[in-house]
Amino acid sequence: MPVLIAATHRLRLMLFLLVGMAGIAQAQPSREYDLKAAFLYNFASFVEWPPQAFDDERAPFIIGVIGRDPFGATLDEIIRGERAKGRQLIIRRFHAVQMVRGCHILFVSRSERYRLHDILRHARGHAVLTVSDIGGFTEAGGMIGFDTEQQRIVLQVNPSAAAAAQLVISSKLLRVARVAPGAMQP
Amino acid sequence: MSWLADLPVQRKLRFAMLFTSSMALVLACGVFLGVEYNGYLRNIEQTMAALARVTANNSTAAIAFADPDDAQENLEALRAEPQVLAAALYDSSGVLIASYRAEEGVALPEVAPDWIGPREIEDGVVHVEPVVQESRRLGTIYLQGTLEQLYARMRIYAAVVVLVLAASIALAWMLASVLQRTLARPVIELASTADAISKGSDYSLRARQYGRDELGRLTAAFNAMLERTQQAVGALRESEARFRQMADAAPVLIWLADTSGGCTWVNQRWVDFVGKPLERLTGDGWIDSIHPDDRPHALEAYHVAFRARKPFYSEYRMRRHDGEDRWVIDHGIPRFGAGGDFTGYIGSCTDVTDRKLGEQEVALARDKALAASRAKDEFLAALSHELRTPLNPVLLVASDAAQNPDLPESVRADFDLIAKNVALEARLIDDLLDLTRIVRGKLSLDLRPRDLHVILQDAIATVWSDLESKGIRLHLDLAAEQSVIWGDAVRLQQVFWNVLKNAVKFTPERGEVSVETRTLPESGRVRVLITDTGIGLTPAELGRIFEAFSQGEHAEGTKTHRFGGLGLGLAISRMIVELHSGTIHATSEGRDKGATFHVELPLALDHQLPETGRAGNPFTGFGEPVIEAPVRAERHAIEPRRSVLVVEDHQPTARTLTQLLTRRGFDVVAAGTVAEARAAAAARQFELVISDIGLPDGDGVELMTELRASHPALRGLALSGYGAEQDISRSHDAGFEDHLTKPINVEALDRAVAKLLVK
Repeated sequence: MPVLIAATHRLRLMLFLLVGMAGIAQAQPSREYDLKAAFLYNFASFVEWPPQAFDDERAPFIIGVIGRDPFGATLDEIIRGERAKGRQLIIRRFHAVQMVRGCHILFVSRSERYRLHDILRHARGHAVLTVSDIGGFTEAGGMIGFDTEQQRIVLQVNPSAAAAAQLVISSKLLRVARVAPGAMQP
Repeated sequence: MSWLADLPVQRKLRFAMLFTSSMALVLACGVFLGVEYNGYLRNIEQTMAALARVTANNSTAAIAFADPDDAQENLEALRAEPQVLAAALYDSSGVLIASYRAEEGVALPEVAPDWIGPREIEDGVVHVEPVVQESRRLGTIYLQGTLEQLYARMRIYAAVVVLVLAASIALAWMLASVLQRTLARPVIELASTADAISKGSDYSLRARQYGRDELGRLTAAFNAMLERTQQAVGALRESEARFRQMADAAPVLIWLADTSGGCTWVNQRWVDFVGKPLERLTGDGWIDSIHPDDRPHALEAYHVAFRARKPFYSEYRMRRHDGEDRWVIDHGIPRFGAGGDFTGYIGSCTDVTDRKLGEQEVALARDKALAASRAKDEFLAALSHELRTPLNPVLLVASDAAQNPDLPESVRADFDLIAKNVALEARLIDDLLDLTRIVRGKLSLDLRPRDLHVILQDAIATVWSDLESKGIRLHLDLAAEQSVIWGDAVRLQQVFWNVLKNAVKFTPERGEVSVETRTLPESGRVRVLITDTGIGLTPAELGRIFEAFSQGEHAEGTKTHRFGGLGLGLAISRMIVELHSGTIHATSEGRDKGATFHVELPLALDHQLPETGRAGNPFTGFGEPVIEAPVRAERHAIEPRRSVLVVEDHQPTARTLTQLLTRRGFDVVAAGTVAEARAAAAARQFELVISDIGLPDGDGVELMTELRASHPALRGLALSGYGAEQDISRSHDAGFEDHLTKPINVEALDRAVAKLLVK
C-alpha cells in the first residue's frame, strides 16, 4: 500500500497526497517527489548528527537541494512551521558545489549526475547526510539512495559512508532500508 | 420478612446462623474475586500498554518511510501474546496502514481513534498509543486485548468459591444444629408451656428452666407470673362463683351487659321469672320479655344512660313465665375496670307490682284522708263561725244592758250573768279550735323580737276588771334585766291571760296575785312566776292540769261548776309555750296553799327593742305597785253625732250594733253587702267603718281598700269570726286600724271605737 508520511496539518497537501497514492508508479514525477520530499524531512528524525555539525544552539537545520529542484513547492510546504532536532528548518537551493558543507541534509538532483563525484568529494569530511535518486548513488559513495522497485520507493543505505561522516543512522531506519551491496567509501 | 417472623425459633436460629456465616463467606469470596478480577484487569491493561508502546516504537520507521510490510511484520509479532485479540496501525492522518487479528471477524476502527490511553470495551480492553519519533507524532497504534483468559480464571475461582461455600454451609449447618438446640430449648419449652396453658387453662403447669442466663431468668419470671396468675385466677374463680351464687340467690333479677350494650348474663331468678333459658335472654333476647308498650321508653332510658356511661332507673312491665305482666324497676350502673375503662353494665330488676298496687292504695287513702281533713277544717271553720255569729247580738245586748244604769240592779245582774256565760261559750269555741289547730300542727306563729314585759302588761289589762271586781290585790315585780324574746305576741298574751285568769278564778275575794319576772343568765332564759293565794293544787292535779279536758279535783268534785270551763286553756298554753321552745309547769304546796305557775322562755339576746312609749308605764315601777286602770272607754269620751258605716251581713248582729252605736250617739248607717256599703259611702261621708270581713258579695278587706282610696281620712274597724292570723294582717294592710273577733263584747267595742275616734 503506497503510503505517504507528510506534515500533519496541511490538509490541501494531504488530500493531494492521498489522491496520488494509487498510481504512484506511473511516474507522475511530482507525486513521486512529494513522497521523496517527505522522506527527506523524515531523515532528520532517524539520523543523529555530531554536535560540531551546528555552529551553536540557535543554528538552524539546513536541508540543501543542489541542482534543479524536482520538488517544486512541496518541500517548502512540508517543512513550514516544523522544526528538526529542535532547530529552525531552512531549505537552501544552490548549484555551487562549495555550498554543500553548510547543509545537514543534501539532496543531489538528477541534474547533477555528471558532477556527482565532485559533490560527494566536497561533502566528504563534513556531517552532511547525502541523499539522491541518481542510480548507483550509494555505490558511488552517497549515503541514502532512493530506488523505485515494484512501484515503491526503496531506500538504499550506505552505513559506512554515514559512519565516516560521523552520522548515526537509526536501526529503525536501517530495518526498512536496504544496505547497499558493495558500497564503497567515497 | 413476615415469613421469618412466623418461623419456629429453632429454625429461625438455624437460619440466622447459616445466613450470617453464608453472608460472611459470600462477602469474603466476593471481595476476593473482585480484587482478583481487578488486579488481573489492571495487569492486562498494563501489558496492553507496554505492548502498544513497544509496537509503536518499532513501527516509527515503517510509518515514516511508508513500509507496510515492516508495519505488518511488527503487528504480526503480537501473535506471541495470546491476550492481544487485534491491533491496527494508522498514519498521522489517521489512515489504516496495517492490522492484525488473532481471530477472524474482529472489528477494528477504520480510522485512528481521537483518544489516547486504556479503555474497557465489551469483553475486552483497548489501548491506543501514539507513534512518536523524536517527539514527532507519526501515527497511532490501536491494541485490543481479550478478557477470555481473565474469564476463564474467574470461572475457576467461582467454582472454587462455590465449593468452599457449600462446604462451609454444610459445616455451619451442623454447628448451628448443635448450637441452636442449646439456645432454642428454653424458648421452645416456654412456648409449649404457654401453649398448653392457653389451651387448657391449667395454671399449675411450669416451664422447665435451663441454666441461669437471660432465658433462664425469663423462664423463672414466667413461672413466677404463672404462680401469681394461678392464685389470681383461683381468687377470681372463687369470686366469680361467689358472685353467681349470690346473684342466683338474690331476690331480684340481676343482669350483666358488655360494652356494646348486649346482655351477657342474667341470674337464675331471671331465668325462672321469665321461664326462658339463659341462651334466649343474652344479647337482645331479654327485650322480648318487656311489654311492647313499654319497650320504647325502657330501651330509650337504657341507651341514653349507656351512651353517657351513667346509672339509670327505668320502670316497665315484664312478662312473667305465667303470662302475667309484672312491673319492675330496672336499675343499671356502669362498671369500670381498675384502669377506669368502661367494662359494661350491671343491673337489677325488682318486681314492684305489689308495691305499686300498695302505693296506689295509699295514695288513694291519702287523698281521701286529705279530703276528709280539709272537709273537717272547713267544717270547723264554718262551725266556729256559725256557733259564734248568733252569740254576737246576745253578748252585745246583754253586756250593754248590764251596764245600763236605767235598769234596776237585779235586772242588770241577770244581764251580766247572760253576758258572762255567752263570753264563756265563745271562749270555749275558740279554745276548741285552737286545740285542734295546734294538735294538727296548723298553728303558725308570728315570731319576732318582743318585750315580754309588754306582753305581760297587756295580759294583765285583760283581767283587770276581774281583779277589780273580786278585790284581788296584784303584786307586780318585773325585775328581769333582759326581757326580749322571740315570740308571737298574740299567742303569748293568750298564755298569760289563761294563767292569770285561772289565778283570778281560783283566788278568793281579797286574795293576792303576784307576777314576777327574772332573768336566768346561765340558761339564757327569762322566767315568769305567777303566784296566787287560791285553793292550790294536789300532786295528782299538778300532773294533769296541762292535759286537755281535765281540771282540778275541785272542779270535778263540785257539781256546781263554780269555776266553769273544760280546762282547755292550760293545755293550749303549754302547747304554745312549747312551740316557743319554752316550758310551763305549776307548783303548789297543797290544797288551799295557793299555786305558782312557772313559765320559762328563751331570751333573744342579740336583739334590743327601741324604747317605746310604754317605758313610762306605771306597771314597771318597783316596790309597792301603783295600780291604775288601763285605758278604758268612757261614755262621755265619745262625741255625739259622728257618722259610722256598719257593714254586716248577719242581720241580728247588724241590728244590735246599729242600736248600740245609735244609743251611744252615733249617726249609724247599716249595709248588708259590699254593694250597699259602696252606695252608702258614695251618698255621704263617714268617719268610721265597722266591717265584717266575710260578706256575701265580696270581702271587707277589698271594700276598705276601695273606700280608703277615695277617703284617706276614713278609719276602719274590722270584725271577723275567730279567724286566721293572716286575716288580721291583711285587714291591717287594707287600712283597718283595729280588729275585733266575734262575738264582740260591748266593752271591747267601746274601747276600740273610742281609741279610733280619739286619735
